[in-house]
Amino acid sequence: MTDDYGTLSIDFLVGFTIFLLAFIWVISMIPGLLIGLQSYTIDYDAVAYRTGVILAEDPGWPVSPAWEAYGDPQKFDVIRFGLALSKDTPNILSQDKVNRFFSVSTTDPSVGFIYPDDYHQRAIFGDFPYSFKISLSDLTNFKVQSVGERLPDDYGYIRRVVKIKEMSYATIDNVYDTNHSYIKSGNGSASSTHVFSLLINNTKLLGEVTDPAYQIDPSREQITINITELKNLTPADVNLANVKIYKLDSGIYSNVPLPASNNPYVNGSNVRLPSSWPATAAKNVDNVTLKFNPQFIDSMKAQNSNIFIVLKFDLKDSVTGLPYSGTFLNNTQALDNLGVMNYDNLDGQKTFGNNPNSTPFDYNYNPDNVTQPKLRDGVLEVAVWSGETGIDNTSTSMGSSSTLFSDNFDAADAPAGWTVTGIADRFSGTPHDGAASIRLRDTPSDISRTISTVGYSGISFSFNMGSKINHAGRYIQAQWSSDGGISWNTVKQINNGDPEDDNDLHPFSYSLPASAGENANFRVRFIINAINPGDKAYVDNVVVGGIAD
Amino acid sequence: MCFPEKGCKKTGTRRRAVQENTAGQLYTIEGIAAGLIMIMTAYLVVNATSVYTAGDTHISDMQLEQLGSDALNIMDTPETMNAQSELRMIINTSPPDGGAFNTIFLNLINGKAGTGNDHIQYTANYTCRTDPGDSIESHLISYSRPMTGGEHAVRVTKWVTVKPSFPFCGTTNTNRTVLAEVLIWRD
Repeated sequence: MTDDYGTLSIDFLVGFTIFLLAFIWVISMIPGLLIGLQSYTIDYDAVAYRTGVILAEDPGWPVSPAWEAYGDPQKFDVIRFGLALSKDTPNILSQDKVNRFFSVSTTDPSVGFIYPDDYHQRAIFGDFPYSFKISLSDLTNFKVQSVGERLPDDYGYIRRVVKIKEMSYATIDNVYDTNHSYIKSGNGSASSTHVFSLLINNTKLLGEVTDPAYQIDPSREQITINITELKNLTPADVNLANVKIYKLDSGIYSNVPLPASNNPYVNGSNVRLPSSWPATAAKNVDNVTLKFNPQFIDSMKAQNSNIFIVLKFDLKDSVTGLPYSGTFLNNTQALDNLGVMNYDNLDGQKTFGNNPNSTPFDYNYNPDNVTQPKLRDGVLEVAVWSGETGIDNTSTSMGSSSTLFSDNFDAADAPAGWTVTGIADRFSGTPHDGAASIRLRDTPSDISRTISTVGYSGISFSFNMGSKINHAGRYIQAQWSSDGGISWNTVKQINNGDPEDDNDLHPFSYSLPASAGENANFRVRFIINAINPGDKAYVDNVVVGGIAD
Repeated sequence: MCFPEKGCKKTGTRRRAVQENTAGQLYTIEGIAAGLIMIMTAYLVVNATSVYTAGDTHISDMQLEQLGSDALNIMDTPETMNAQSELRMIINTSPPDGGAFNTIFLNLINGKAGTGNDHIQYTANYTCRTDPGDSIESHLISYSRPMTGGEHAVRVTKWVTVKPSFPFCGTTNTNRTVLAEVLIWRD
């Protein structure tokens, strides 16, 4: 007989091994007891944060040409959406990128990017089919743009405060038109043809200001030129016959064809002149708007060049249709290579090179010429979750803002209706807008007024203000009060020596907190703490707006 | 053993009694059963447990910090090229323009794209080094409501360069860089 009592059976070994393995595995799970296992919500927040960073701090890819210029045939070359102006300006968004990003369609690629696939690949990323909603609120213009679905009860979320860069533009109005109207466009003889040119000096634009947030860069953002009130200059019909583009690069002028995608707008139309123009002149023109897409400027590779935009106007007698010779907007002597007046065979060197009879309008950083780029406040929100909730088709506006109160102080009895302290008189000198402004001067002075906002929320406070203060420590303030004037909140102060202390009016606009709305005691005030004669402040165009409940 | 020469008869096939010892199989079955019970218990316990540790609050803290940091950066970004930033102008007055800071900051951090606003409160001050004296001073800018001490606040800061035209943080009006500091919390 064999005695096997001292031998462990194989069964025992197997069972004990299984027990030990399970025991070890359970012990290894104990540290996990100290961790809150909420992986899905952390994941949504992380995805929302990542998308917020990409949109607010990154310009997207590709950068040149910029992704927002890509139409549907090229959209597969768009790797990543981004709304930032550049990688050096986080949280400052480009208006062009914003407009393109929020052009959404579910079916038609000619309208915009296709939701949700195009957005998921280029903003959300990952293989998991997240649902999302991305919104941008313009706090100054009370406008909300969004793409995505309705929000569920629980979702990952991030909110970013941003600035949106407005585009620059130039308005050539009746005053400029009148001061630059001549009887001839050529070599001394009366002519019905008038040539007006503009200059975009890229070397100066990119060299004088290097901060992309304030730089005018036609290859990165759209520039707009409005030429208005042309009919006021002549009794004849004004026809826009042609627009030519010339590039000066390393001393050599070259003609750049103007594509139909960059044709002008006339007479306030929101549709460009057709491709049949200029073969068929645009007739009876009162105003012309030139809007050049950044992609067109970028394609010229003109970063170190000058760009001349040359417009040709023909005057026709409104009755007979015959050429009409008279004064009109005119700043260019359009010469051919023989030095003869000839727009159709214009020679850049003869026309613009050291020609004192050609003085193009300079699109530059002079605020008298060009309204400079301005930054306005906005809020970008990203929400991420899983599961479909249906596309959000709500209005892209937070509600129209109505004007509750306005005063341009043009009335002869201005500032009637305001409570006046000190010296505050109606002023028709410089500066004013319209017929007059209000001038506060010489001694502590203020004007104030109670404006009921009952029934309204989202209160906005806009005004024009400026000063000429000659003594340190003196200033003007624009203020509002929610308690009838017991306490005041300052929204804008101009001190002696500030840029706005230039004897000119400057526009300001603010959206006020909730306490300004639904308030019968809402009050506004403009106050100067002058104590010396000669210190002056100016107020004009006061507007209080709100959204009806 | 039976040997025929000793007289025992071999009457047939004599089978030796075989005893099968199955006791060892119980160990295997017990082992499997014990393992399964332990695993199932551990799974139920872990799934039922949700301990809210400090690690879980970091998401909401991060969101609030990002918002506050963005708001201060935006306030320190001038609206136009030659303008002063709002934050600089607020600190560069004597006393600091708390009303303007309150209006602008609350508008930025509580504004939302949808309807309604958030309910975030704050208290803000700036810290500077005096000249002369070289000591640290802290000055209140503004607050939305007093802190009671029970709020879970996060801190955001921004260095701001001011160019005062009056004695600032001491008795001189030299250019100075101060630290604007804001505590923000959600009601």
